[in-house]
Formats: sequence, C-alpha cells, structure tokens
Amino acid sequence: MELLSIDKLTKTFGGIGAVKNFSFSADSNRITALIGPNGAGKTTVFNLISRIIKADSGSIIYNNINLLNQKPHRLMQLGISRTFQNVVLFDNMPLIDNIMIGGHIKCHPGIIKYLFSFSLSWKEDKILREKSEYFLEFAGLKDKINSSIAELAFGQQRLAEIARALVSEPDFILLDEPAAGLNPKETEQLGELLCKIKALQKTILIVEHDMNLVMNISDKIVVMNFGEFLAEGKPADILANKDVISAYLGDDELC
Amino acid sequence: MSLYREKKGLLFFFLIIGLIPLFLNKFQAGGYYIGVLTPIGLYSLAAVGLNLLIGFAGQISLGHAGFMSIGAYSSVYVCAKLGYPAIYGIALSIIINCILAYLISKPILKLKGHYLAMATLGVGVIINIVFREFMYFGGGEGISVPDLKIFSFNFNDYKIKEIAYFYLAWSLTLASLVLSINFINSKAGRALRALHLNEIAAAALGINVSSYKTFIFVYSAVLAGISGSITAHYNSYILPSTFDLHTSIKLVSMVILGGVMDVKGAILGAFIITILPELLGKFDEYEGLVYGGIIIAALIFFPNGLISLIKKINAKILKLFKKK
Repeated sequence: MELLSIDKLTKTFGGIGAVKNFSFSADSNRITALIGPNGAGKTTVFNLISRIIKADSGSIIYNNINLLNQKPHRLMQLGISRTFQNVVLFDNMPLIDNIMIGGHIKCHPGIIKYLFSFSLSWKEDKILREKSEYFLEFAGLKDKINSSIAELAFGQQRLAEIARALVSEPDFILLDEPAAGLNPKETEQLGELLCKIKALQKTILIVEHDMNLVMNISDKIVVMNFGEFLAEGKPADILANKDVISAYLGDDELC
Repeated sequence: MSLYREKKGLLFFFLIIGLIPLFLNKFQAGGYYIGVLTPIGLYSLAAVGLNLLIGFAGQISLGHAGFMSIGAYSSVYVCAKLGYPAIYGIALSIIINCILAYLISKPILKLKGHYLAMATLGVGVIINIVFREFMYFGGGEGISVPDLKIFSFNFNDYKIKEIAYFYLAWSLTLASLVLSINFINSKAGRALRALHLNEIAAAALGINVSSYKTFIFVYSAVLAGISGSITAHYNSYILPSTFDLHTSIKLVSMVILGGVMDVKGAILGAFIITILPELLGKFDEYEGLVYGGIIIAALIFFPNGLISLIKKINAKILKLFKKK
C-alpha cells in the first residue's frame, strides 16, 4: 500500500532545476531509500516533503492528504517526523529534554494553560519522560539518559536524533543521511536500529550515501540524478542497472 | 524535584523582601530605602517578561518601554479622562497591549537578529513620539495621574504610599515569576528553547514557531504594560520621556546583566541597574564612567549573567552545610 506518493514534483532555484518532474512512492511498513550522486536533489525532495521549502508544482500525497497545503509544524500531527543531515539537537538543554521535545504534539495543545497550571506539565512530563527514556534505550543510549548533548559522541547524537523522531510515535519517518560521519561499527548499529524501527510497523524514507547500508536494509530503492527520476527497484536490480552505474561512475566514453 | 526547590527558594526570597519594610521602618531613612525598592519591583515585573523573550525565545526587543508607556497612558485615560476606577485602567492597558503587541508581532517577528532589534527599536520610538506629540495627554509637558484606588483602598495616601506600592509591586513581580516559571518548565519552555536555536528544526518537531513567538511577545508586552500603569500611579505624574529609548535599553540591560537563562536573573538585573547609580553618587562626574565600567566587567567575567555567580555561591554554601 502506498503511504506517500509524489507526483511530478518540480522545484527550481533561480532557473536551475533542483527537482524536475520527479515521481515516486513509498509503501507503508517498508524502508524506501532515495539515492543519487551528490547534487542530485535528494535533500531538496526531503525538504519539499517536510515543507521547509515550497514546491513550484506537483503534488505530495500522504494518506490522501496533499502535504503541499500543510504548514511545516502540522506534519508531525499527521504522523511524519524527520531527522536532519547535520544533526540538530538543542545544546541549551539536557539530552532528555531534547528527546521530550519529540513528544511536543502529544501534549495539551493550549499555550496559555501552561502559564497558570503547573500540574498539567507535571503530569504530562512524567509520561513523556518515561517514553523518552524508553526510546533512548531503544536507540541504544540507555547509559546516556542523564547526559548533556556535549557529552555525546557524534554517532550517539545521530541515534539520539532518531530517538527524538520516534517519541511522537509517527507512522512515517524521514531520515536524511543518518550514516553520514559514522564509522563502520556505528553504521552497523544504525542498520540494526532501522530494522527494529521497521519492525514497529513504521514506514521509513531514507536518503543515504552509504551503499552497504542502503543495500542491506532497503525494500525499495529510488535513484535520482540531476533532479530527475532515474530508476527504481529492489536492491539487486539497482546494482545491476546500467543507468545507475553510469550515473555514479560516469560514462565510459569520458574515461 | 528541582522545580519544587526552585519555588521554595522563590518563596523564601520573597518572604525576606516582604519583611524588609518592617525592619527598615525603625530607621529614619527607611522611607528612602523602600522608595528605591519599589521601582526595582516595577522594573522587575517588566524585565521578567522580557527575560522570557530574550533568554528563552531568543528574540530581542528594544522597544518595550513603548508598551510600558501604553500601560501608563491607558491608566491616565481611564482614570483622569473618563473618571473610572484605576483597576479599569490596568485592564485597558492589558487589552490594548495584547492587541497592539499581537498586531506588531505578526510582521516584526519574521525578522531576525539585528533586523528585529532595529524594528523593535523603531516601534518603541514611534510610540514615544506619538505620546510626545499628542496634546490630549499633555504632549511633552506630561500629565498628572490620579491616585490608584482599588475599592476604597488608596495606594497614594501619603501615610502608607511607600509601603503600599512596595507590596503591590513585589507581589505582582512574584505572580509574574510564578507564571513564568510554570511556563518555562513545561513543553512550552522546551519549545521556546528549541526555536531559539533552530526554527526550522523546531517546526519539523511540530512546534508552531510563529504562535509561540507571538505569544511570548504579547506576554512580555502585557507585563511591561502593567508595570507602566503602576509606575504612572506611583509617580503621580508621567512624561513621555519616562518611557523613552533609554528605558528600553535599561530593561534589556537588566535582563542581560542578570542572566538570560534564568527568570530570576531579571530581578537581580533590575536591582543592580537601579541601585548602581545611587551607590555611585560619590563619584560625581565620573559616575557614568564607573557605572559603564562595572557593567562591562560584569559581562566579561559573567557572560551568563550575575545570577550564575549567585548560583555558584549558593552551591558552595549548600556543600558546606552537607559536610557538617
């Protein structure tokens, strides 16, 4: 079943087509990987989905809702959470608070009520904290629960960011290059974590350069080049696809 | 929990503040000291709101004296021009500041950093000029303000004026602190800190960035307005120059000198910025020099505000007690 389907998505930056007539879909409870050479427009697609930048044309349908009509902060309520290429954790608060922000939308929607009631946040935070600790443990950071952001190694910050993306119990998780900057062992750990997340009946869309990881965990791979759709299929098919090979390694004629 | 301790500490602090007049009354100069502490309470009230805006939400406002003047002139309008009780003046100040701050915040909070500073500075200056040129309120000559009467209790009665305003100012400050501490220790506080560092990431986490920024701007404007209303009644006479750019900058200095990551810092900042000129009187013409020097030194040695110094001392004292 298609959870997210993108149709004829187009985005140009000052006349340069970053994403051109790009269409693909992500099935529910599967890991879909979006790959392509540097500058192919993968992160632009991600930012278009999470509404950080506005699309010129096309549509992004999630669960029968056109995301292009939604405000960025609404996506979380629709069940879409994401991580960033450059880890974004807030170092002005402890790690646990960072993770608790992931559950922001699960709290009472009012703002003013929090001025006058302390018991409201007291009760909410208790549940949220337990949940955050659970997901930190889930991501393999059990011994880091009381740490500050600065005490975490880069790889652990990546895992923490993924834990934060899980607290609101989203259906659809966007991961932007989660393995960038990780060593092989950490990447392996990450792969295991992603499979564990998939086992929770979640859908994952991942942009990644680490081909080992992508080939091992993906159910479907979509390849883009120069902002356009190039190929899609199972990992084995993609490995054998001549277009993909030439996009990554260059044409024979040029050599 | 730490929050419980924070509130207990707060209560203790205000208990001491509340007892000050009883001791000072024994001295002949008691009235003078209380007369210094009341404006500190009123400034604290405005600075607490600004502290949330600057320290937690990471937005700057160099125009908050404008909101104070709106509070002050609302009170004048209701009490002097319409002849209604003072409490309606304060209510009007809250309503006008809510609406005005909301309308201003919508376009202005889209700006960031220096641009926001310039824009809010402009707002403060415009409000100031309007009141200076508007002859209905006496223009630059100023206008006298009727007494603050709540039911039949007259705060301006000369026998009790200092004491009455002292308690009024500090109880309002206490109330604003309790509200603010509630607020920042909830999901709202986390949301503000998050959008402080990265608005895009905050939005991706489901935080409605613009509504949080608007809310905190309005909240700080309302507190400044209430402070302005009470200040007007306390001074019995207001001039537009009471709430000019200098006052705005003073408020921001209080917040930054006191410490931006702690609401209590606002009170410490208000205390120091208000009391320093009084203490430095003996330096005569060098007063400004010493005043500026102290502030620069404080910011260099305590970049997190003087509240961090107090916290360090507090921690050391607690350690000493534990050893015994």
